[in-house]
Amino acid sequence: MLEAIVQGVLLGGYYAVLAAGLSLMFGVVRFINLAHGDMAVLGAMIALWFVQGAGLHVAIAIALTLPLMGALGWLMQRMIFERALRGGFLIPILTTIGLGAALQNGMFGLFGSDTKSLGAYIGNLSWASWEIPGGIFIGQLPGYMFLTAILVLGAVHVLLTRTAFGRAVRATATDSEAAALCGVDARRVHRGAAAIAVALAGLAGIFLAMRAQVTPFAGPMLLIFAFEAVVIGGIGSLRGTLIGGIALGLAQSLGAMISPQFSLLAGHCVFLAVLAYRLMSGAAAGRGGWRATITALVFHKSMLRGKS
Amino acid sequence: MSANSSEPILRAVGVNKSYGALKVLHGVDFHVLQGEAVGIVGPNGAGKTTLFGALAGSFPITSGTIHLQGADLGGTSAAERCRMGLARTYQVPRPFLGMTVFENVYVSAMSGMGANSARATQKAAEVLEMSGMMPLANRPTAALGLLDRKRLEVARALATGPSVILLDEIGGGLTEAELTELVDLIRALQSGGMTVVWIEHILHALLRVVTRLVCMAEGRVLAQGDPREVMAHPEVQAAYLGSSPE
Repeated sequence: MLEAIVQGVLLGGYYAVLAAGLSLMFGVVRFINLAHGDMAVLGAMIALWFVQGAGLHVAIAIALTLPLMGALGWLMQRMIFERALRGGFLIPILTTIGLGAALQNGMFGLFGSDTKSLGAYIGNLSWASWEIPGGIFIGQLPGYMFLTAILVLGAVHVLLTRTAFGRAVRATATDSEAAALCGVDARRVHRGAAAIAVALAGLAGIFLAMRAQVTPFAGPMLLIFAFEAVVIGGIGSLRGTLIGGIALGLAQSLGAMISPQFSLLAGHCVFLAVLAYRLMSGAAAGRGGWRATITALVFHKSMLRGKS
Repeated sequence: MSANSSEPILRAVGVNKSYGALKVLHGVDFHVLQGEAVGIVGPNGAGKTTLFGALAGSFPITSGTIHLQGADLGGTSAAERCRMGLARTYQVPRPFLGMTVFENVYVSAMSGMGANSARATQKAAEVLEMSGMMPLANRPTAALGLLDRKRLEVARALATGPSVILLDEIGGGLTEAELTELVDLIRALQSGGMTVVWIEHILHALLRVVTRLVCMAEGRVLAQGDPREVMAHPEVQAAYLGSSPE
């Protein structure tokens, strides 16, 4: 039991990194990137290519992949998302569905459909573990991943709260029109946020490739996990995303104790329970209408928009 | 500096704005000279705030031209206009909730002036001092009352280092003492060389500051000139009273 809880918390760090980019994009750019999971897979594939194709060390591959993913996010915001956003509510959704399909099939064409893993390239890290008092074993890889997740999310939090760019991001997220009147260039802020979001997706993909396998078509499942963590934790708050990720990890880990098949289902159940609670409290707030309900739903714990 | 320069710092010519079939601005000509303080009055729905939106670049205008310090503003974004020296406040304050008073002003200084962090911090402190908000600097904006939100709105605009500031009904809802403070602040700005355009319903406050008055009604400029003459204008009185004088 205790061991399952520890494993669940550690797994939560991975889900939090996966979800943080999705949350950031929606909180700042007001844009739901349905290709987020596919971008995570792309990050994994690029890192895998650096390791398998170019023969680089995993650490170097990661150091090269993350900036590359950031640049890709910046470019996609500039070339694709910005234009899609001008088309109203539906166009960005269709655009990212299409982008996801293109990414999946593009990766299939380039890298083949085999499952791939970084597990073989990280030495004994994939199976080594620490024993802590009470006879509990903590896998070193999940431990390091959790630590990295905390550090990375902490760094993004500091970036958003302490730096000039972060303040511009928060101003734009609160009121982009008022921010523009203060001289904040929303396009630059959006591109910066997209760069961070896609780099985070890439990191999550690399995590996945280290702890398990990836295939070009793994993206949609990752998107679902990211969505679940975001909804459980509340959009726009990194702390919420971390809590959401840990809740999802715990649910899956504890669910697996009941039966291996119940693992994912338990996560979905927690997600549905939180969703139902949010919907009901949204309806109870008497704001009515599906728009208001969705707003209540996603901004329940909004850090970017302040007190709600 | 005073209102002796003959070249307008801000000039709008033939500005039209329509939302579909609804025409909100009908060929509005408007200008303000360097260092001048101009008031804009008019009944609700006259297009005053829409004119501010058009000047500040909040939305594209249907036709017409706007120049700031001789530069054509056509095609420039609100953020670019801000950095060119045009600041605007909102009638209903729109602070960045979730950020402190200082952060609100700091973002403005940073983005509006393109300042580095040290310079932005200094500018933010200056502006907070000037607007009397220094004691509230670390307060979250969500906790501010109406007066402080209005002051923050002005402070945020000032932090962008503007040469022209557009003030949209910042006096509404204030007590007489608060209003006097506000008038003193705006006068101080103007004597420091800033050009002020002020939309206000509270005429006695407005007339303590402005040297020229523009009256708008139904998307048109009805009359402009000496404040007292404008207010005595029969059409202006008709617009305000809602009927033609007998």
